[in-house]
Formats: sequence, C-alpha cells, structure tokens
Amino acid sequence: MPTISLNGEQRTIPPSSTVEDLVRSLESEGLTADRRAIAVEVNRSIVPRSTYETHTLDDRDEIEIVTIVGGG
Amino acid sequence: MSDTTLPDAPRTRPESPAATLSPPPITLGDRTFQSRLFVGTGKYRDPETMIAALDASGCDVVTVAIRRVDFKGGEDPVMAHLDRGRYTILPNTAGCFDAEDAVRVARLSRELGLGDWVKLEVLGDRKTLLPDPVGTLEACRTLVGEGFSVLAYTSDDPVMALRLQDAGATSVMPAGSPIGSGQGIVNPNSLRIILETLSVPVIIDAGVGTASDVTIAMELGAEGVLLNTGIAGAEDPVAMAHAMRRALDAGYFAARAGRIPKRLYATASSPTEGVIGE
Repeated sequence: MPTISLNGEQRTIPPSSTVEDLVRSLESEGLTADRRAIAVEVNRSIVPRSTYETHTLDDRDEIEIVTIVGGG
Repeated sequence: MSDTTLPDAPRTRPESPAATLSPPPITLGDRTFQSRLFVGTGKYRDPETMIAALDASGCDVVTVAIRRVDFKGGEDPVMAHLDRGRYTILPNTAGCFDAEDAVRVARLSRELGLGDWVKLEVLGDRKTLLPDPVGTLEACRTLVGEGFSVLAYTSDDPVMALRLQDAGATSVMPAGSPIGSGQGIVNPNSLRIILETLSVPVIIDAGVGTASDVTIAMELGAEGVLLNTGIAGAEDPVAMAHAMRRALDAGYFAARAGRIPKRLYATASSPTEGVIGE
C-alpha cells in the first residue's frame, strides 16, 4: 500500500488513489469543509480542483491540504 | 425658586459637512478602498467580537492566514462569520520562514479564490518575528513575476523598503515595532525617510498598541495602517476599533493641516495689549 505524508502525518492509501479519492475518504472521516474552502498541494505544486479526479497519488507523495483561518 | 423653565436643549445638533469629512480612498495597484485601516482577523476571543470590532473599525480589507485544514472539522469559524460581500480578504504568508514557503502559501491562497494579491511575510526567527530581508526580497521578485500584487511586510530599513519597491511591490509595509509588541512607532525617523523616498503607498504594519500609535503613523505621512493585536487583544476590542478608526482620520488630516513649529518658549494665545491694570 502506498504511504503518503498528509499535512505532516503518515497515512497509507489504496493503490492508484486520486486526490478526489483522498478528499472523499477525509470527508467520510469527518472533514466538513466546503470544497471551495480547501486547496490541495502535492509535492509543493498546486493541484487545481478540476484535476482532483485525474491526479493519481504515488508512494511517498507529500500532500498539504489547507484552508483560510483568522490571522493578522 | 424660579418658575422659569429652560427649553430642552437639542440632544444632538445637526452635523456640518466638515464634521463628516473622511480621508479620500486609498489605491493599491488596481484595487481602491474607502478605508485606510486594514485589520487582521486573528486572536479575537470569539467570532462575534471580531465581527463587531471589524464593523466599528470601518475597515474594508481584512487579513487572513492559510493553515492546514482540521480533518475533524470544517471551515474556520472566523471565515464562516465573515461577510465576504462587505470585506475584501487579503491573505498573508504569516508563519513562513523562507521564501519558498511564502511563495507556496501565496499560490495556495490564489487557489482558494482570494485573488492574485498577498501580504508577504517572510520571518527571520520565532522570537522577534522580525522580517528576513533576503527571503522577503526573493519571494517578492518571484511573486511579482507570477502576476501577484505584493504588499511586502518589512522592517523600518529605508534601503530595504526601496529594494522592495524596485522588485515591484505594490505597497511596502514597514513595521512600527515588532509584531504584536504594542510598542507603537519606535523609529519615526526611519519611517520618515521611507515615506520620503518611496513612490508606492506605504502602510505601517505591526506594533500598534493604541489609537495614538495610529495617529502618529498617519501624521508621519503613511498612506494607511494595518493592525490586528492592538484591537483583538484590547480588553474592549469594539471600543478600541472605534478609537483606531478615529485616530486614523485624525492623523490623516493633521498630516495635511500644516502643524505649528515646536518652540522652546511660550507664545501667548490672547492679545498681549490692553490687559487691565497696566
């Protein structure tokens, strides 16, 4: 099973998972943020929303999923 | 006792046009805003207090940060409460300690729909939170090259401010004093040189502790002030936001009103001739 780094935590994912698969599994685990309120980066490059379904994740990929918070 | 009664004095008198005079709008690149006060959305005790304080401040632009999402939750409560129709959101790169991370955050904020502008912060160390000039300049060049409008947070160093302007910054934002320190404007002379030298709008960012700090920044000739902790950390954030708004207007007009020179000795305000008993 491929192991990825997700927001700094190790996580195993099914082979050939896409960004869409990952986001869906996070949503089933409790993520309620609107899709427009998150942005995804894989290996330091933005993954546009339009390519979530086609972007396949590989072993050792480093993924960041971010949102907007209060700040100065 | 007299039975004469005085008529009730009007509780309020009609305001003259001068009483409602406001500073003109500020233009940053291709964006124009009525208010010159820019307010952060961090560190409020609850979202309701933040909303009331932002309202009292009269600001049009609020800053936000970009952080890892909480997988056990949804949108940050701050964002859920913010009226996106009323406020323009300026994302920052706060918490980034090198140019690459700051550039990544700016790209992420653009992906989040916050547009092609960013308050660039590249910090040097966690204790002072002073800006890293080398990283800031590098990130500024990269982001300008990618079409971002960069509002660059920097120290009060006049040469660095000029370098950021040369790198294409839309606005240069020197600190009055360290972030969240409440020390106010500690080096007015450096800020004066920056204000004299630069042609892009200069916004004083960071260090504001109370309303008079905002007035001092504006009296020096700043185009605007950005603050967060000075309001969010006050005992009564809504009252402080109200004060900050008035302080900005006071400083704006005073800066253009031509103040009297400072003199060592007194000069009488009333006529010196015709005093009785002479």
